[in-house]
Amino acid sequence: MSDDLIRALASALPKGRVLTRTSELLCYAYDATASEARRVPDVVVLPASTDEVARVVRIARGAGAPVYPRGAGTSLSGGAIPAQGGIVLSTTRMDAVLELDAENHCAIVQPGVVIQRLNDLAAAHGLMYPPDPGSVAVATMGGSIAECAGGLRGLKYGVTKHYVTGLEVVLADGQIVRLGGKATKNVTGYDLVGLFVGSEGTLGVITEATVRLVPAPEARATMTATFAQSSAATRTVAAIVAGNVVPATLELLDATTLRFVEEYAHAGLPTDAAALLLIEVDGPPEAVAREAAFVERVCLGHGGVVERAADDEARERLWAARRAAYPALARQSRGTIVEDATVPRSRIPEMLAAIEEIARRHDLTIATMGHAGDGNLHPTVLVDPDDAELMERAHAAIAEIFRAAIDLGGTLSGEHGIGSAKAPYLGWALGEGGLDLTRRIKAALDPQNILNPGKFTA
Amino acid sequence: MSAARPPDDLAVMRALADAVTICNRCGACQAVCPVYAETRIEPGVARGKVQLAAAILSGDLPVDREAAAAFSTCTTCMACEEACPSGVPVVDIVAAARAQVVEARGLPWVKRVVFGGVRRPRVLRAAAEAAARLQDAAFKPASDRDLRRLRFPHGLAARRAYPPLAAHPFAHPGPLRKAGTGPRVLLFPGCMVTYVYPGIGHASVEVLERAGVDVVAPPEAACCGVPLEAHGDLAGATELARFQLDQLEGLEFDALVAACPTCTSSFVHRYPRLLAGEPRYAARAQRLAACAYDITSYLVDVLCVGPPTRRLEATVTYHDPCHLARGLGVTRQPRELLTGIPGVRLSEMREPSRCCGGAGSFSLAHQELSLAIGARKATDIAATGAEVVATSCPGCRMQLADVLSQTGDSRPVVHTVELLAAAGR
Ligand SMILES: Cc1cc2nc3c(=O)[nH]c(=O)nc-3n(C[C@H](O)[C@H](O)[C@H](O)COP(=O)(O)OP(=O)(O)OC[C@H]3O[C@@H](n4cnc5c(N)ncnc54)[C@H](O)[C@@H]3O)c2cc1C
Ligand code: SF4
Ligand code: SF4
Repeated sequence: MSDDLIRALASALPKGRVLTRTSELLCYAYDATASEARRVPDVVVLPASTDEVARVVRIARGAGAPVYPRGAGTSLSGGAIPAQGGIVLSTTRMDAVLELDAENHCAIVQPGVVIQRLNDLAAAHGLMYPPDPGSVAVATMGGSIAECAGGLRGLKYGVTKHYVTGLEVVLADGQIVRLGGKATKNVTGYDLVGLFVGSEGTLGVITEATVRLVPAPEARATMTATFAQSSAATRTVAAIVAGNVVPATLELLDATTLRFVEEYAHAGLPTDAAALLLIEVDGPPEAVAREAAFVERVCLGHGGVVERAADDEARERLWAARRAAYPALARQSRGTIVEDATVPRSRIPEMLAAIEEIARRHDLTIATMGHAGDGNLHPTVLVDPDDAELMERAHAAIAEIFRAAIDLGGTLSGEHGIGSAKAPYLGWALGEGGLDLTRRIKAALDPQNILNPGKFTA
Repeated sequence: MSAARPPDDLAVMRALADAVTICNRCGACQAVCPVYAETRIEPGVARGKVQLAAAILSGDLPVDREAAAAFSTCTTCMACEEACPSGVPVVDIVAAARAQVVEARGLPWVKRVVFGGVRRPRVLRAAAEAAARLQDAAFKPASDRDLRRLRFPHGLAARRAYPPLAAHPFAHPGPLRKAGTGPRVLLFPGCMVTYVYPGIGHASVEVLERAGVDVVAPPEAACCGVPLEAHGDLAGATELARFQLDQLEGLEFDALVAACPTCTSSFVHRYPRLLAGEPRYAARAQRLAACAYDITSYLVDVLCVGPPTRRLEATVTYHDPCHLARGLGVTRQPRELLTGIPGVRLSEMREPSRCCGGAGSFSLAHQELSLAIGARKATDIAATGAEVVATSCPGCRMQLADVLSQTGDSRPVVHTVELLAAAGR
């Protein structure tokens, strides 16, 4: 990359906000994706305002240099890796909560705000921002909007796209556009806000977002149920939903995950269990009591061993098993590829069976946990990025998992996005028509292909 | 990028190569790293440092001054280790990287001179005593309290307010005053207590003797070696570890107790590791590790001391030192001691175990950063409305007093044992 570009950036931004040392650049060569290669950017910029972002994008456009927006770098699909070098645009300095409008149940935030911080502020008003990815303590609003992140409350509360009502975006030509606003209903022209939610930094840089907040539930009830057969667990999920009860959380841990969790956390889980469900219902106290009783009955009816939390401390204990799942898997191997294949809820049993069969055939350890309520499974392949042969088997298995999900009427990703990791399979899910439309949208908004190039729009 | 040095020169770091690879870059450490909270750049956070270590091992980052600077922005607070889902030993990796730089480049001359003194206890003592005499010329009072600012700011420490060096370093008054029947404790004073806060040493002796303990002191008040290891001077740190073991050889005591958690963790964790490969020392280091205690833990867990007699009407807030809370797992004991004092009410601050930003010479090398981290602590302390701030580490005490003074906050900061001693008089 030319020194001219770096000079131009340095004169456009205040001192200290353009990083060029090797030791700095090396730290922006990755995100949390185990399967994707690192790529060291040429320069990192730390803009603190929309205006500075626009200046950076204009300079990049003039130089034809790639711009890679980056929040907390926790993407699991390679989204934040600067695949072709160029400029990493880090939003961590844009971290102001500009407004918390309790009356209108909304907030206006800069992109670098960490999701958890918004929640902490909202809690003071009895409100919450429901999207809660496992990375909620560090992931940014900008990154989670760009990925349309989901989380553990998705079944009842939906995902990020259900909460974004307004955006300010810097387009590839450096123009600043403001879309939507605080109004929660808005059919004024195309859904331009929706276009950018989940666009993974390929269409514009989000510089401000208006998001909906909802009243925090008054009460909740939490239980776990363990089953001797995973089919009993999945039938339980179906029966709960068929009873018109929508839990906030309905998480599944398979036998492999449970074994690792028990090894790691000694939570006293039954080691012969084939599956565990973590279920939480929330809402007004009367409804919670009724729904919890129903859920408990269904679990027992399917042969589940139920433990119900009597107080907050017990709730923490029950959640601990779910929270320990990722650390437990992370400690089993040098790397984990967390996949994200999603199927219609009723096809979960078949999907679980397919994953088990694929793991066996490729001689891999795949632990599956996931948001069973919405069919979003996270088959997690234990890998070693330095073991080429193992990585090859893992990639073959992952391709088959995607194939299986799509054959069951599902899709590649429920919440982690496509990035570079799943780009080769995008056609399976979108078809030629969908791919073509994707490319046409990209070409219309970013004709020079400077925004997050080398990802799924390539 | 080309490899600046053949990878085989990286022996110090290679020992931690496996530890480096278990970082899966999940980024969870961003939520807790005090340095990252201020700098918001990836080289500041544990993930960045571990990945830089990986880059050194792969030859992508030369072992040079730039690498040294990158690894210097860490308070070794261990918050990342506590939060890390993969169990990455970040602090060990940072220490190894610092040592690797020294191994490759040598110590900068300033550090060579200073550490040369630290390695020789008598030189250190002489230097400290001379400095104590000279400091009136060099410092002006920061306020009417016991802090001073440098009279001739030299860039490095211009904004920092430090307590004067003690005119009379701490020294336990020699042979046992009474050879009682109680347990015999070797009170390890450490540099900070000896030269900056002798009062903590005297208070320690007081509470221990009051509990029926015979207190002995080591012959020389030598440094535990952490400051050297923190700067990558592994050879110097190991030499001091040997010195400590040698000077304690032959002394009889049931427990080794320190009022500085950094010193205590040297005996508990560092010496066994540093001396593991040395037949003459390894077993002794293990034996010492087994009988080394932080003073609050010794008082509560071993001596089971009762509450003192006098009332101290005060609201106290307690700051958990990193190396005590996360390094040694001691958080309950100091609180039990404090709330055991009749009249003392404990008002907990937000995130009491968040790093205060002191971290020894980090506070000088990264003055602005250290003050910024400390400013959050000062805010959290002020929010408690407590009249007194207690902590269990002389280093934290110095940093807390400084950052409070920066905001004109005149709340006294004391070591837990000082309150305990006062309540027994
Ligand atoms: C342990 C762990 C658990 C996770 N759990 C979940 C989960 O439960 N659900 C879930 O959905 N995801 C999960 N994720 C994935 C990830 O955390 C989310 O996708 C998160 O929303 C990414 O936020 P970030 O700030 O880290 O974004 P980054 O990783 O920095 O960026 C993600 C993408 O957004 C783009 N981007 C970032 N900021 C902007 C901006 N201002 N404008 C335009 N584009 C931008 C980037 O270019 C990139 O393509 C998890 C990840 C980890 C490591
Ligand atoms: S929390 Fe641990 S595994 Fe995750 S990025 Fe930080 S050091 Fe690496
Ligand atoms: S030890 Fe503390 S300062 Fe150092 S990287 Fe970890 S959290 Fe950050």
